[in-house]
Amino acid sequence: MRFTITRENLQQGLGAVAGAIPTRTTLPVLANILIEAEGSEVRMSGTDLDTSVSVRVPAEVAEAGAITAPAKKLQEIARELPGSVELSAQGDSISISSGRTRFKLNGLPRDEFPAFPRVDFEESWKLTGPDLQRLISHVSFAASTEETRPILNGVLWQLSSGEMRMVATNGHRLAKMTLPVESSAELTAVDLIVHPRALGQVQRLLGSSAQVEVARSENHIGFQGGGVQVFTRLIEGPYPNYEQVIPKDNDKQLVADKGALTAAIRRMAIVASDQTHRIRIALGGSSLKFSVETPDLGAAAEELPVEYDGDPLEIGFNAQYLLELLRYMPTDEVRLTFKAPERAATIQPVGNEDTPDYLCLVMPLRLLS
Amino acid sequence: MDTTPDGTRRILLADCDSYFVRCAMLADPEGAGRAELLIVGGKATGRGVVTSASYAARKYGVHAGMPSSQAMRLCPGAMLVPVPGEMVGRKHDEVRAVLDRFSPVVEAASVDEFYLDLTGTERLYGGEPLEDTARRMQAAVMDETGIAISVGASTQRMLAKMAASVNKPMGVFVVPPGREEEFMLRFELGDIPGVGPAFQESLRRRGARTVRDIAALDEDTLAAWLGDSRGRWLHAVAHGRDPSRVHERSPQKSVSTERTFPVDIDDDEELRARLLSLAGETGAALREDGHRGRTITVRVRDGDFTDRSRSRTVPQPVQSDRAIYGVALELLAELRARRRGGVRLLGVGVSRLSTGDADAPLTFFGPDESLESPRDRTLSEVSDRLRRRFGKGAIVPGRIAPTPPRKE
Repeated sequence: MRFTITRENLQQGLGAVAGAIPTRTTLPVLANILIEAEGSEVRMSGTDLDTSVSVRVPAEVAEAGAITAPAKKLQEIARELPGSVELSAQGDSISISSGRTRFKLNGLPRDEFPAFPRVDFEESWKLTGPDLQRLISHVSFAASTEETRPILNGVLWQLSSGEMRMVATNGHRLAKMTLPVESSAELTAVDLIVHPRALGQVQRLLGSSAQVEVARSENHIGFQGGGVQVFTRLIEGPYPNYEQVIPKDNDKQLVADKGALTAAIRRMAIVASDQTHRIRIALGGSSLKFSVETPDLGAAAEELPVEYDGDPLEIGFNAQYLLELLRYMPTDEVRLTFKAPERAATIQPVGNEDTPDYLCLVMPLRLLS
Repeated sequence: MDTTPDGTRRILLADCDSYFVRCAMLADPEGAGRAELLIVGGKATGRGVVTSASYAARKYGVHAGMPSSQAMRLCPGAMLVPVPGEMVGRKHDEVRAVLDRFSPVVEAASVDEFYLDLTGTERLYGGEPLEDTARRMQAAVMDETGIAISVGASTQRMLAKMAASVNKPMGVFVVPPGREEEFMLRFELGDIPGVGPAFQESLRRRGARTVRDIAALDEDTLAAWLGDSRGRWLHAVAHGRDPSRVHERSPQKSVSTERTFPVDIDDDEELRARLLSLAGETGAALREDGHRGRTITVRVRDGDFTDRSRSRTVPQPVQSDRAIYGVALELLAELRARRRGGVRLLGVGVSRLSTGDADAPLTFFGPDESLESPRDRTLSEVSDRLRRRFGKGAIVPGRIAPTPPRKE
């Protein structure tokens, strides 16, 4: 294998794939990038066995072939090289030269690199990168990071011919967003559960692509667009019935300025317990009263003028969950609805045309006394 | 005068003298009770370390933390007994009960050390000098529990602790208010609690070995040497100022059980069995205090003394043996996947404690019963009751039950 490539193209390819390389691995070849040269392109691929990324960049290929090279070292070298790069492989040894600089790196044969999942893009959904980006960036943060209920570590992605929806939750707070999609063909509706890490790669590499093709096999899902492919193992379902936990009868409604609400909660959070992050909210009239009291630490209180419609209510929340959900609200004003002290509350943006169907839920915390 | 004007703190440390040795003697008055050379902790042939040794045995160079086999080589005539666990717990409670009569604020700093805050009790004691109060306390504890204590007293918590070490055993030492700085000058830096070997070494490299060596230095110099917080702390302590207070029982933060094995265990099946028994002990201790916990930790010490641990926080607080063991088992597997080889010590801990349901976050989908069901909780409670009634071995999981001796 021998090819010449611009430093920019090499860096771009390596940068795209590096995110898929695991930082620690028991299988040495996973720390490597697979480099395949053919025609007028070089394909670089990396995988952590769950998620795989490959990207094609233009190059002048003198001799087709393939090898795997240590990702981190190759990236460091590419960063420091002065100009266009010639890369060749002889046996397991990789030579890199640029100007008057020469490097030799020890690689591993391509046969040791795990095969990529086979996903057939013949039958695929055709979406836009920005749509995907919008869904992922508003929802995937809510997935669980605890290992006790693996299904909640994934993001539920529901695709049907007219719309697509993502839902994620850790059991205590939930985010859900739906967008209309124009499908090219009638496709049967499907529920996919995808790890947020893979969606992060999709967002990073395909978020601005005009068209992203999405296809699935039995156990995997693939995304491709603009020379980039991302594959990931699907998490096996079923996903818990989230529809059933979305409150339909929350009869108390609050509209507030997101900035003011966030600032007040942040102040309360300072003296909240660092285990429960519990703060108390008292609603009634046209004001919202925050208070927090943590034994052995201290107390705080604050009052915020708001539009509130409903009977008085006292309810406890994990301040961190509220702050997190507010951070993802795309508008300056937000609407919160409540039913009772131990029932789920909702948070929604007010007046956004961009993301009309965005809803977050949060479970309260019990109040002591 | 020993009594202090209003506002001056009167803090005492009651430190039990060679506590584990005393307990061992009280537990076995005919055997250990008569041995002059007595070492507590570990086994002569196997492993484990010395927890404590009688003053006579200490003269041979035996000290706490030393491998027991080495201690027996140094002092071959000594009698070696295991830690009398039950007696240690019982005497702790008894000593505390006596001390509780002397002060409303008693904090157990460890199994054999108690801080008492007598601030504001001057009138209660009718102006009795603090030294006399300390002597009465010492006599009462000895009379009622058979445990000897040394008492240190000062306006500062740490100084009280250091004062208790001055006249051991059965000593009383009161640092007169206003003379704290002078009192500190007699010590080496290593005598200050919190100044460990590495800290001492970094001071020694700069030519400081005793409190006197650093007493003349200003705060900024020490801060430049040792970093801001450590430097300022040492400066304050060297001048007899320690701001910490005596707390009544601080809330418990974690419960754990660990075991050092006689020989390293390499077999995974055997380790899992040990883990099961440790998880059960930790669970029982947790439930005894009426607690539940959300974070489970497994700790191992490898054969080469590398300490490693892994923790996991579960969504709902748990308390049953099954839940604790279930998580601990996964953690052990993760630890073993990282590094195999013999395990010298294994431990199971539970932290992020709560009582009752108040702190359990509400969930959309209801509690996850795969981790712990009401049945698991009931099962654990019932086993606890059986053990309280019939002893610790009354009910054990089948996997770790001792095989009954076969009839010949």
